[in-house]
This record gives sequence, structure tokens and C-alpha cells, in this order.
Amino acid sequence: MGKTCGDMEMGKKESNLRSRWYVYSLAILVLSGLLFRIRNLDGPSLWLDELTILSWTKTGTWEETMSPNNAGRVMFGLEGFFYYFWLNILGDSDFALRSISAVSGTVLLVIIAEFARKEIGEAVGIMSSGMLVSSFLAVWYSQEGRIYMVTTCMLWLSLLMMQNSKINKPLQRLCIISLLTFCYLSHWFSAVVIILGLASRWVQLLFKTRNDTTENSVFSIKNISKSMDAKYGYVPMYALSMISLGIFCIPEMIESKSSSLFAWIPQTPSDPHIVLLDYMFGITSWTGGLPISWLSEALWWLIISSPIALFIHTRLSRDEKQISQQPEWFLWATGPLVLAIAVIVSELSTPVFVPRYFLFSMPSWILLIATSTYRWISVCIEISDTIEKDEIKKHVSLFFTVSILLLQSSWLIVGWDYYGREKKTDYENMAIEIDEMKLGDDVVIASSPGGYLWDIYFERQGSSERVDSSPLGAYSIINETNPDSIIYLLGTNTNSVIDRDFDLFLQDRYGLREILTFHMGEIRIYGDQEVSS
Amino acid sequence: MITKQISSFPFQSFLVISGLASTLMSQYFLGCAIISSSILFQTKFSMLDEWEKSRILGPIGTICWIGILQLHSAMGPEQIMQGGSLVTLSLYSISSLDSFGSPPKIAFHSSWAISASSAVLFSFLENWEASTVFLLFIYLYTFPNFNKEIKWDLPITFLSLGLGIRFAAVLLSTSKGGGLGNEIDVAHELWIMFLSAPIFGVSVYLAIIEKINSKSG
Repeated sequence: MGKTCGDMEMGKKESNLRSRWYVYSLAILVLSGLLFRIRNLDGPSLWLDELTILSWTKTGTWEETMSPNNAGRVMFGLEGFFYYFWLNILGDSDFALRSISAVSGTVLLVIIAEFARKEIGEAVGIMSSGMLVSSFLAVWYSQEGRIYMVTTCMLWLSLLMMQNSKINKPLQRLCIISLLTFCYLSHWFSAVVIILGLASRWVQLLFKTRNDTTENSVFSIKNISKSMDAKYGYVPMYALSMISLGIFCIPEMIESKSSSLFAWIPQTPSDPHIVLLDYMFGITSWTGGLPISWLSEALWWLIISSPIALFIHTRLSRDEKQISQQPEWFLWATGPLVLAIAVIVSELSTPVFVPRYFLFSMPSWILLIATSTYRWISVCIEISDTIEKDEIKKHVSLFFTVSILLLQSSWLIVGWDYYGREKKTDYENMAIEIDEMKLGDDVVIASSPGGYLWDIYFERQGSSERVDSSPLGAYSIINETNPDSIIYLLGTNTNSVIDRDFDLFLQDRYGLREILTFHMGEIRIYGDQEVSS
Repeated sequence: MITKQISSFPFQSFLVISGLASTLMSQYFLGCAIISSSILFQTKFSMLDEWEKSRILGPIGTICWIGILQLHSAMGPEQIMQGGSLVTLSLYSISSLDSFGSPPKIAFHSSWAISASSAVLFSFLENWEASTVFLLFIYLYTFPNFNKEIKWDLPITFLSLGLGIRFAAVLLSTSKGGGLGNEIDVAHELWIMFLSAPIFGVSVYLAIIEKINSKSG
């Protein structure tokens, strides 16, 4: 017994030991990741979604923020609740709004590295983190003031904490359930990742308990009962708490299905896996001249080949872990399976394929690629005659990490010119332009979409200008006040948001005098009044 | 110690009667505080684990306190919380007797979980009253010794915790005036769901564990 405890203690210490190579490499990656995420963070104007969050949080109380007229329109309103407190602490500047995402995106690098290190080893930890540093999807959502990156960070923190759920203390269990609850309620796709992740962990546990008890059937009542024993960890407890939460969420799910929440989502592409990998690694656009998404295709083949790599590698490496206990099961369940479900739902019901919804499961894809790559590298090294195999594995993994990192970074900064181009609707400069026009009382301002998007910037700039109405309400204002000129503001996607009837009405009555074009926005001036632009 | 116990009975009776008198004069919180003190006083100084008449003084006082409030139709959210704390204290008093076995202990733990969680959540969502803070000190003082050895104690306590959080909706509803049936804020309703739903799941897990353990002996 003493020996067993000693062995366990030693094993625990070993799993907590990190080599200098790992620590220094991770430190460099985290620092690079931080630079990628904070560079020009408040440069581009806030866009529709970010300004909508700002408008939600401009309420007297947090209860109002979560009301059905504000954040409560989307999921359970937790995004509004979260930002209400965050912005009340840090202020409502662009930097404050986006900073939490940047911090979460950086912390995620450490979480993913640690997750992979505990599952497979340090080399995979560094490879995964390296692929995430300048991933297009990761950098983009680390620079956007929405809850996606925060939720991803919390979700993977909880998954990391429950990695060895046997040692979860009551406070840790409380933290895990709280984090999972928050993530579950933040976004349906996050909820799907949680349910599939917990289910796969439980199934892995069932395989483990079956082996321990010589039970024949994995899914027998006896084996399921056995898996619930606290000595095997608390995965069933986490799973049951989330199932219970899911049951209470059913009315909301039914309501959201019938709402127009997903109406804007376009049709699912024919090769969603390649599109998604393109978003994650973003190299394709740079190789615009090439006929295929060669890197995404290659990475997809790495994912596809992961079961074979797993099988061969476990045979060769004399891994103590059985195949059923390897991380690929969990990674497949929380990565590609989530995409498969989205595609099925899109086919059968309403389209739900939006690349940012897969941010929650993106770490699984990256971990799967890193794991598969590592296994193939290991297989090649194992069957060769080289000595010091571990050292070579480490160096090859590092080479792979640096190559991917350099390729991604150079594409992001040079190829795509991520920091150079304005990537979001330029509401800020449109508001500055309007303010500088020094409009008189005889001008009516209408906008599509909502006027609050410009009003937030007017307010910040100390301007007295405000958007008067939407096109629908503007008819009566124009008929009543008969202004000299009308300004029609368009933002986000000018072609789809423009009210054609309103535009024709204004052209007939006033004549289109000028169009000032901004990035994804327009100021259309109708009427005779001179404006200084 | 026996001397103390014997001499405590008249004093306790005096406290209970004073508490009820205050309640009759519409000083509900004062009445609750005095009756609570009588129960705490009794449990502090009583050393014997046998049935004593002094132990039923608190519960009798509690029943009378609730009866008076019903007659006065004065059941607002604060009074419901105070009533809950008196019931919890009564069960606390009875649970210290070993002769009844574990049911009074489980009942006390359950009542403690319901009343404490509903009082805390109600105060977070509505406002913090001095009377609620006083009740919270009582809850802290009587913090239960949750015991895995007592069968079904943990599942029932967690179930009660979830129900207590749900009960906060009742308190919030009554706080709008005019008794039950008032609509509560959507945000409050959501938070009650967020907090209680995972706890129900945990209680199911603990119940299954309990069932497995009882089967395996």
C-alpha cells in the first residue's frame, strides 16, 4: 500500500514537472500571442455587434441589461450581464471592451498547452499553443469585444481542471460547474461542446471501469453505477449537472428555434471542414493563385489519419494508456463531431454554419492536428535506428511549430495585412464626418441599421448630433418638418441594409447630392443644403 | 451543568412569552429575534441528550409566531424568511436529541439549506435588510455538520439547496406586495434557473451514489 501511494505521489510529481524547454518555449509563445492580440487593439472602429453590446450595457441596472429588449434577446442575456460589470469596472472605451477578449485569447494559449501536455506530452503542448498563437480565427476573436473568446477560455479552463477529476476538491468542483454553467448558457455551440465533451469523457470512464471490474458490457447498469464511484473522479457529476441545466433550458431552446435568430446565416458550404480550417489557419487567401486550399487540405488529412496514427503509435511506443483512454476520442467528439452536428442541423432545419461559432471547439481541432502530427513523427522516429529518440521528437516538433507559426504569422501580417486594413464598419469616422459637417436644424438623419450605432460615437465625441429615425419613421418626420436635406447613414453591409424604397423616395423628392464612402459604410446626402465634407 | 439546565427553563419560557407578546404588538422581527435567542440559549446550555420539556418551548414559540402572523395577514418576504429561520432553529433544537435518530438531523439540514439559500439570494437580488443580516448570523452559528454517515443527508441537502434557490422566486414575488402571483423580473427568473438547475443535477448524482452505496451495503 505504501509503495502504491509512493508511486502515485511520484507520478503526480512527474506530471507536474515541466522541463525548461517547455517553460521557455511556452513563455515565448505566450509573449508573441499577447503581442498579436494587443497590437492595434482599439485601432479599428467598433462594429455592429460590439456597439450593440455597448448599447446593452448602458442601462441603470444589470437587470435591465438582461431584459428581453436588450441582451436578453440573444440566448439568456449573459453576454450583456458579463459586459455590464466588466465595462462598469474598466470604462466603456474600445480598448476596455476588447481587452478581456485579448487577455482571454492569451490565457487560452497556456490552457491549451497545459491540456495537451497532460494528455500527451510537452511537445504536443508546444505544437498546439504554437498553432494557436497567430491563428486567424483566434487573433480575430481575441480582438473583438464579444464573449466568444472569453467563453472559449473559460470552457477550456474547466476542461483542464477536470482532466484529472479524481483530485478535484469541493471548491474546484464548484468552480468547474460554475464555469461550465456560464459557458453552457453563453452560446448553444458552447453547450454542444460541453455535452459532447462530458459524454465522451464518461464513455472513456466506462471503458476504464469495465476493465477494472471485468464487466463484460460497457453500458451495463452495473458498469455505469461503478463509473459513478467518486474514486474514478467526478465526470458523471459534472455531466448530470449539465444535463439538468439542459432540461431547464428546453423552453428557451424551443423559443430560439422558432425565432429569426439564425435567419441571417447563409447556406452551409459544400466543404465546411476546409472552410473552417481556412478560417483557423487562414493561409488559403495568401495562396490565392493556387487552385486548392493546400494547407487546409493537408491538415484535414492529418485529422482524418489520426485514428491510424493513434493505433500505430500506441503499438510502437508501449504507451501505458489503452486506446480507449487516449485523448483522440474526446478531441473528435468536441471538434469534428460538433461540425458534423452543425451540418446535419443545417441540412434538416435551419443553416447554423458560422465560422465564429466553432471558436469554442477550435482548440480540439488544433489539438487533434498537433496530436496526429506528433504521433506520425513519433512513428517515423520509432521505426528508425536513431538513438536519443525523445530528443529528436522534441526537435522535430519544435521545427513543425516554428514552421507553422512563421507561415501563419507572415500570412497574417504581410499576406493578409491584418493590421493594415480596416476590417470592420467604420462607424467612428462616419460619426466624426457628420459632426464636422455642422448640420443645422433643417437636416434629418436617418440610418440603417439602428441609429444607436452612430449615436454611441456622437456621444463619445461630445457631439450634439443624433440619428433622428429609421427609414420607416423618417417619412412622417420629413412630411411634418419638410427639412432642407436628409442624411441617410448606412453601415455594416450597405447593399443589404439599404431601404431601397426610402432611397427612391428621397431621390425623387430631394435628389441625391453626394455619397461619402467609408469602409463598409456610406453617408448619402440628399437635398440642396451645402455641407462641408 | 444540571443546575444551569434546570434554571434555564423559566428564563426560556420568559423569552418565548416576551417574543410572542412582541409579535402580538406587530413587532414581528423583535418577536422572531427573542424566540430565536431562547432556542439558541437552550441549545447552548443544555447538555443532556434526553427529551426535555425545554426543547419544545422553541418549536411551540415558532408555531405561535407563525400563527399570529397568519392572523395579522402580515406575511411579507422578510416575515417568511424570519419564519423559515425559526423553523430551522426549532429543527436544530430537536436534531440535537439522539433519541430520534437521523430524520430530525436531515430535516434540520434541509430546512437550513432552503431558508439560508433563499434568504441570501433574495437579499442579493432585492436588497440587504438589517433583519436578514441578523438571520444570516444565526445561519452561520448553526452551520450544519453535514455527514456522509447519515443516509440520504447529502442528496436531500442539495435538493433543498436547489429548492431554496427556487423559493427565492416566491420571496421576490411577495416583495412586490399583494401576496403571491406577481411577476418577477426576467433577469431574476433567469438567475434562479441558472443557479438551481445544476444543483438539482448534483443532487441526482448524490442520490444515485447513495442508492448504489445502500445496495452494496
